[in-house]
Amino acid sequence: MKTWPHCSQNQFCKYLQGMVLLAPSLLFAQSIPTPLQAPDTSKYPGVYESFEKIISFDEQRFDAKAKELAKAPQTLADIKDVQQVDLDPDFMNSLILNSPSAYLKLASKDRCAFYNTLIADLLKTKEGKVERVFVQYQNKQDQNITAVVPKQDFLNKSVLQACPEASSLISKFQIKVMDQTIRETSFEIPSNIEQCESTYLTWLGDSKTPYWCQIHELLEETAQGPTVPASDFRRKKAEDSRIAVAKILRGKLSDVQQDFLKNFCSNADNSKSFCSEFFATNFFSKIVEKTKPDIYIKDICQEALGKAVWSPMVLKECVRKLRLEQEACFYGSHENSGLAPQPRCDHLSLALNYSSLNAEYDDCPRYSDQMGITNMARVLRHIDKQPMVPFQGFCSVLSAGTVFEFNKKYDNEEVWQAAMCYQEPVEDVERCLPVFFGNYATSTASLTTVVNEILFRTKGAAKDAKCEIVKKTDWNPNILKYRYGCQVIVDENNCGMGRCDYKIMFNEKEIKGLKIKVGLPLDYFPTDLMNEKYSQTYILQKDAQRKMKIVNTLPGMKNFFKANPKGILHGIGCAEDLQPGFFKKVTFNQCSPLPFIIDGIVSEGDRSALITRSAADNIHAPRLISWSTIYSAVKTYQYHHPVKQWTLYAIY
Amino acid sequence: MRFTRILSLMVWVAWALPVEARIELPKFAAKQSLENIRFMTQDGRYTYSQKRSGALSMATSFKSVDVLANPPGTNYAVTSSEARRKMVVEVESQWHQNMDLNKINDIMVGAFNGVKFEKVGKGRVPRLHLDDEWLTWFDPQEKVIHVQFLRTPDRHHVIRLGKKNNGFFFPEVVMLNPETILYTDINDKGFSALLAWNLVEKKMTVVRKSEVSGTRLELCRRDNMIVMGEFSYDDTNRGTTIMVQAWKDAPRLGGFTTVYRVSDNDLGQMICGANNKLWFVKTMSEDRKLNIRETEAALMEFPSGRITVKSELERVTNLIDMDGRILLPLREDIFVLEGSPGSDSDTLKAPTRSAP
Repeated sequence: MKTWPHCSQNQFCKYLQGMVLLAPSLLFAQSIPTPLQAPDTSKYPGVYESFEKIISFDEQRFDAKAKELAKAPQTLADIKDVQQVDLDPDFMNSLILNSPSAYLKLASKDRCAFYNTLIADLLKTKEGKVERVFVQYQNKQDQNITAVVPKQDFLNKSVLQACPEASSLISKFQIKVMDQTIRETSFEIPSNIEQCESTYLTWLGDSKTPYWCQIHELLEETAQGPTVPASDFRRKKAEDSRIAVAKILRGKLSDVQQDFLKNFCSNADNSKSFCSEFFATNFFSKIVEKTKPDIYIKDICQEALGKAVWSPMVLKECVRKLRLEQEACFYGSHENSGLAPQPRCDHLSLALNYSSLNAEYDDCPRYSDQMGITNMARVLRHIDKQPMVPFQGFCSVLSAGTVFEFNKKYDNEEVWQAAMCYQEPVEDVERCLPVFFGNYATSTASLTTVVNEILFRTKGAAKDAKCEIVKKTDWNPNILKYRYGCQVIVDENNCGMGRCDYKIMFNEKEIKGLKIKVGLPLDYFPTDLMNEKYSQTYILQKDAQRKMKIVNTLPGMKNFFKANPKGILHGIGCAEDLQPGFFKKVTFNQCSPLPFIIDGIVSEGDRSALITRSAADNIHAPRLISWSTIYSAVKTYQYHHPVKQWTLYAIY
Repeated sequence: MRFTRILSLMVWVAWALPVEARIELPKFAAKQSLENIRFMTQDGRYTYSQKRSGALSMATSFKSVDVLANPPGTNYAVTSSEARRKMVVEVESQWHQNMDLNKINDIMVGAFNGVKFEKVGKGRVPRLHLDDEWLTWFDPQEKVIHVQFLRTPDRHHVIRLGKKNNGFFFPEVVMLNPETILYTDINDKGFSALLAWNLVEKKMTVVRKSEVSGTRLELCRRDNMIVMGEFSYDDTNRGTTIMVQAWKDAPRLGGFTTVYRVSDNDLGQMICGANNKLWFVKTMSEDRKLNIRETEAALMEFPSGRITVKSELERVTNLIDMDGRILLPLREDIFVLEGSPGSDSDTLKAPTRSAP
């Protein structure tokens, strides 16, 4: 017992903690006589021996009490007041000394929580699973009675009367409604310590938790298969029944959910142990265990192993490599890449373990010609939990489409300056349609939707004609499918969201005369008071009703993550100060504005690193960046900002 | 902060790093608001400033003249070289609205301290070479280095880089002589290389290739030497190597001599200064688990290889050479490592009274 955390693994220490934890429960046990008399002198000099003695006393007292009470059996038929039924102190002591401390923690919340753990068979006496209960109560004749009763009688005549919610809880854990109960329960793996603490407290306070732990105990108990010999018919039948139920439950609960239950039910008395299970594990191992999606490393693996195929075996081979070779994470595929090299594998694993950004998609920052849109799309997809939509072209179109639709929703689409213009034949005026290069769901600014519209207006194409985006390298006019219809041929090496090297072919003829307004300038944060309402952060706050709070100190950031475990911060800093290894200053007052997101913090002693993705970084490759670097980048940008705005905000 | 000190492996440099006792660097000062300044000559007589209207103005002798006019929101980057014959201005439109790291800007050239600038192309990171007779710049969208002989507009060359490299890679370029250009590139596996392009033969040769991936090469040239530094990108943990090539007569491509090799992940940002000095950002301590570093400005003197730490600011990220003045920008302050710190006083010197 060197330290308290080590002590928590020790059985005797658990007893100690258990007694402390159960103190609130003992409050409702009124008029409890001195339960256990300590000996006047002890031959046992050490703590270990003293506990042995205590247990020995407890067992003696328990047996003696059981023997005495068995002489006068009671049925609880004449209880005066169910709220006044208490457990016998010696019975309580036996529970304290024999039950796992994790379950004592669950029981210690209040009287009903205690009863729920008892109903769920989580508490144990010296006899093991509780089959009978020692109780004290007043009968209708106002006599104080101490009695031993079958547990089921105690539950029916006292517990379910005193805690009526228990009946509905039990009904939620019947096999036929389990699917719904599972759906209603969050087993989400926390992505940072603050979120984990919050998850822990939620589960600790949830009255359903003892029943979940009962399921966990059943799954653990039956994991080894049948153990009772067939000759013991009665026990064998009971075991078979338990195994059958466990099999059904295993089919309903995913591996992740079972692991979650195992972690919580084993560590319910210690949030640190509970959380360390999530964060001590290498992130890549979590992918093998399917608690995290493989999108985070698929790209790296295919590059590192030089294999285009993807299978569980390839994944395992890759994770082995990533754990041994730090440089294996430097480069992903050319298509999806962002700023390279990416972080080394140990840093990447650490950062992903503490990252909370919804990042289960690719957005190809390499093809982004507006980092503000890439960053804002990441923010929007996180806070709105947007599902994936079909897209065509480069995956950077996800960002373009997300931000365009966001602005359109709040009547701000005129902020979108990239446009395709044509001469309207009837009115002989130039008309421009907002566009981005690629297709995003049914967005009106999708490239082929805009081209279709223009061809309909100018070339008599059918209204429902469908243009197709074709890569320059794939296009071949001799292939039949490219001879007719409409194709927009794009040079994938020179295309962004708002500019592109492209040509339009319609029925074998190139369409010329269309003008493109290139570029997607927009205000991320307001740059002047007159146009403040068009800035993305203004719309986010005023129209989308998201709260934002300025953060300019490290304690402020720590407090934010503590209160908002899933929260993120977004900001803009000078690239040359934010990522000086990649961007170098060569002229006086040089600053390239670069938006970024912070979605976690990892601390060790008095040092902290922030989990940061600049908009240029691959969304799956967050970096560890110090607060002083972030502060310098934002402070320098503020120095250059037209209205001297501080540009680092937490989003609630 | 008590970061874990990582022991360095010094190959050539035998001295322990001396840190000057209690370094207090002077702050750069000027009569106008520092945030608007884009260039100032070393004697402080000519200052190029950004105006809110979008113009670039030049001020001298209490007179100010607009040298370039552009819409509001335009930003200017102004550079020169030690030859002090020409100046280059990079004109960046929609500075705060167009956050495209690979955007291309107008490149304008004019006389040193001049007020007339002419557009020579579009791109980024323009550099003057060989007595300001040559100009190079990079087009990050086409991945092309442009080489322009300034006296004859027709003498324009392009050097194409590999397209499958880091999408945000910017090459370093120096000219050895009118025929040879040294530049850096990076391949799709992340290996950096120093390449030489012969403008006459239009042929590329590999001068040096990195032994490991995840490093970046920096180049600078001053007088009779070229310095090449190999630094780690962010947390790649590849250590630092600085190599020098020097010549006595006509510059020619030869072998590089390693003068400094450490396991520290120095930041780099090299500047070849006057009098055989090399300025760079050195990592003083590093917490490799959390990727946190203390960095300072350091000076290496040639040929001794002696290194002196020149700052005590803990978080130095960049160094700038502005007309021979070596500056250290940090947040809203600009510290002066070498050269005059300038003055923000408007007081005119009183005329000296002649002796009776």
